[in-house]
Amino acid sequence: MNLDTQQSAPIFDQISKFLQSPVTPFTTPGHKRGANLNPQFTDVLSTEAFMRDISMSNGLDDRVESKQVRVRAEKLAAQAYAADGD
Amino acid sequence: MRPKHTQLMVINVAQLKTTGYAVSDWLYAEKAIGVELADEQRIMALLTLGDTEERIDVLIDGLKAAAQCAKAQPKESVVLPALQSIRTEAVMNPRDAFFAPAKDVPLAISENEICAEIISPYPPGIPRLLPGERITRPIIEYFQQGLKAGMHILDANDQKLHKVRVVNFSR
Repeated sequence: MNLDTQQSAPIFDQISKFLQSPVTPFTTPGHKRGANLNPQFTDVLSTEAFMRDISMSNGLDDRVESKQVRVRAEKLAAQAYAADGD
Repeated sequence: MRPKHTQLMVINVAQLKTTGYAVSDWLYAEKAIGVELADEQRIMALLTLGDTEERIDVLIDGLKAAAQCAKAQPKESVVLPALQSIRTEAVMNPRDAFFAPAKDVPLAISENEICAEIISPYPPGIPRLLPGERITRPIIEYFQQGLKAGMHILDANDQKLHKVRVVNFSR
């Protein structure tokens, strides 16, 4: 693996930003940023885990992927695994 | 009222002289509201157990503001070719087409070529073309008009579809 190419983590960074954002989701996942969950789940997984379960479209990125979050992450993964010519 | 089970709220915005794409993008950019699906005529909001009356009020207020904004900036309405007309014919095994020698050709002149990639508008992420399927004129028009209206292609090599990847039989 060429570690020089692996200096950023686009999805991870965007999750961090999303936690500070005011987005009201009417998207999947259905739990809506961890709201109103059954304690059976949160006792084991924590509300914080659900807060980090976020839609890509109109969530981590906009509908047309202006920030290219997914594309950048996929390119990095392809480089890490030498999966294609990039 | 809080939804007791998941509800899919489909809102047709065509009479506002706008597109579902434009409303979805405006809601996200201006009101920080994310909707699940959008197409040339509709948006769809997912209401679930996680929603509260306050959250639903956010959606209603956002929709009212979006309607005002749409009235101020009318867009050309878009009618895509009927889904039945974009039915495709698989003429090659998908695996063979995917791994065959390929070339990228302009979408506009790709009629009768055999697609070598997966092309899905997202949302909803259902492929309209799969490797091994023959590209037809209605499919080309569907993508051209859809992209003009704001359709987003998730998985194609060229997300703007200036070019599509097809099987290269001359190699």
